[in-house]
Amino acid sequence: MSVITASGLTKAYGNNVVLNDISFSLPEGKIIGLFGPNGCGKTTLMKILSGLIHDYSGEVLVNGNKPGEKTKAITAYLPEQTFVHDWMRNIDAVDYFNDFYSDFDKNKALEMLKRFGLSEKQKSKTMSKGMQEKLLLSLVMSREASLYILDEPMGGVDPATRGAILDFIMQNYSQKSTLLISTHLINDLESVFNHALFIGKGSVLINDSVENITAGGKSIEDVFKEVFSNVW
Amino acid sequence: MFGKLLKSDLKAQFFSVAPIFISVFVIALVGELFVLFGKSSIGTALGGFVVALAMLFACLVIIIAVALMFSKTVFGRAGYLTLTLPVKTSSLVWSKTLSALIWTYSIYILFFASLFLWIYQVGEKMGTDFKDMADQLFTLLWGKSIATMISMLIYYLVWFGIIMFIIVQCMYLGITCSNVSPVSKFGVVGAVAVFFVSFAVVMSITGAFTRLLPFGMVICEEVVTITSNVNEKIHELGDYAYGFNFAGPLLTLAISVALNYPITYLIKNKVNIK
Repeated sequence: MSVITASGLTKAYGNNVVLNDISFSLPEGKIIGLFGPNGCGKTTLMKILSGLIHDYSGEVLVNGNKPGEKTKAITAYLPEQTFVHDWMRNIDAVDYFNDFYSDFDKNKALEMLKRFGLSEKQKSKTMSKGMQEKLLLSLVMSREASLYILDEPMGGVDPATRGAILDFIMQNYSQKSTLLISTHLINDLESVFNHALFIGKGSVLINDSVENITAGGKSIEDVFKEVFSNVW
Repeated sequence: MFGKLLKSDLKAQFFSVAPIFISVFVIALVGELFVLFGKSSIGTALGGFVVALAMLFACLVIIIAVALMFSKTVFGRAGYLTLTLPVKTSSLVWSKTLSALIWTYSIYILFFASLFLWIYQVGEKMGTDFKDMADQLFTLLWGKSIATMISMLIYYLVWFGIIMFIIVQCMYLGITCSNVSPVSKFGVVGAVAVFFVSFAVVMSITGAFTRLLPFGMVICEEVVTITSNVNEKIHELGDYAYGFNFAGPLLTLAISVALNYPITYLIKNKVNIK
């Protein structure tokens, strides 16, 4: 069964067409890598799925529904940038999620904060980018969501911590859920993906299982280089 | 869920309006010192005037503060948090409108309370009874007696609430439009232009409506009369009568409520979070 379906999806910023009439469906219960070069529309696609971009044409369905109130209740989205209010302390952010998401596990979130060495009383605006990313990850991964959308989850984290964060994601996501992760750090994450979606120049270039993609003995990163050296 | 939204918005806006409330408190305190320790009555009056001006300024600043807060929490970085919540967009907008109204209204109440306190203390100092003092002041300023002014207070409180409501809604409309193409090209200028145009249109419509339907109430001393023609009744009762039209405020209230729909529609269907 498909958790995400897009048909004829087109999104342009002025004259710049980022997604050009693309259609695809993504399977449920998989860890899906979303790959593509900078500016190819990965973040735009994730924002559309999360209900943050509305002026697109075509149809997008998440669990059979258009992005909106219903899909937001089952989707946990981690954007590329930090998003908590400046006035919030870490505990306020945890309480905020606890108030609005019925699938949020407050104890799990507090445990995660402790594990990351983040104080409950610390204000988000006084934290470094890496610390803020850890906070957001703790919040998002403490939900029992059907779909996790993670946009560059390790973008601002030092290489030493990446492995720990990856373990953290793998341990904390609900096993029945689908994970859609966009990343440029293909090497670090390659082992966890079981499906991949490659987009570039507004089109879907590959949408297949990792097993099929790497059948010829190539790694995902090799395939990425091969595909995008021709496209760009 | 609406209660939780409101709680969160009141909290978020508190951090933005708290410095203004603190400033108002300090200004009121300075005014108090002028009244208590001022040697000449001119100095006391001048002190009170400066305090009143500073408070009016604070009332304007609070409007700007709530506008910036709306912009930040819906269209800024925090929009990722706000707009991914599993709640209706109209609830989001209502909650932000209501919390803005609560904060702005509170500061206006504070303004009027400190004004009355100032009048009372000046009266005490000059050995004049508060009622006489207020009576003299109001007759001097507006040509009305204290009895009429007190009867008018409830009307003014309601009318202020409605005016704040329409100002907040027009501001939210302006900010929302400035995040939607093609107004987005003009940025802040676009937001300000939409605010002034929408506010002017609403005021013109309600002004015309008021002339068309002049029903309302007339207050003369303690007597309140409901009438179908306010102007005629004032003419009949003389100088001490004061009239209030109902049609204008009611229509303004209706338009303020209705403005939630275009704001919600634009956020739901046209806005892209950057």
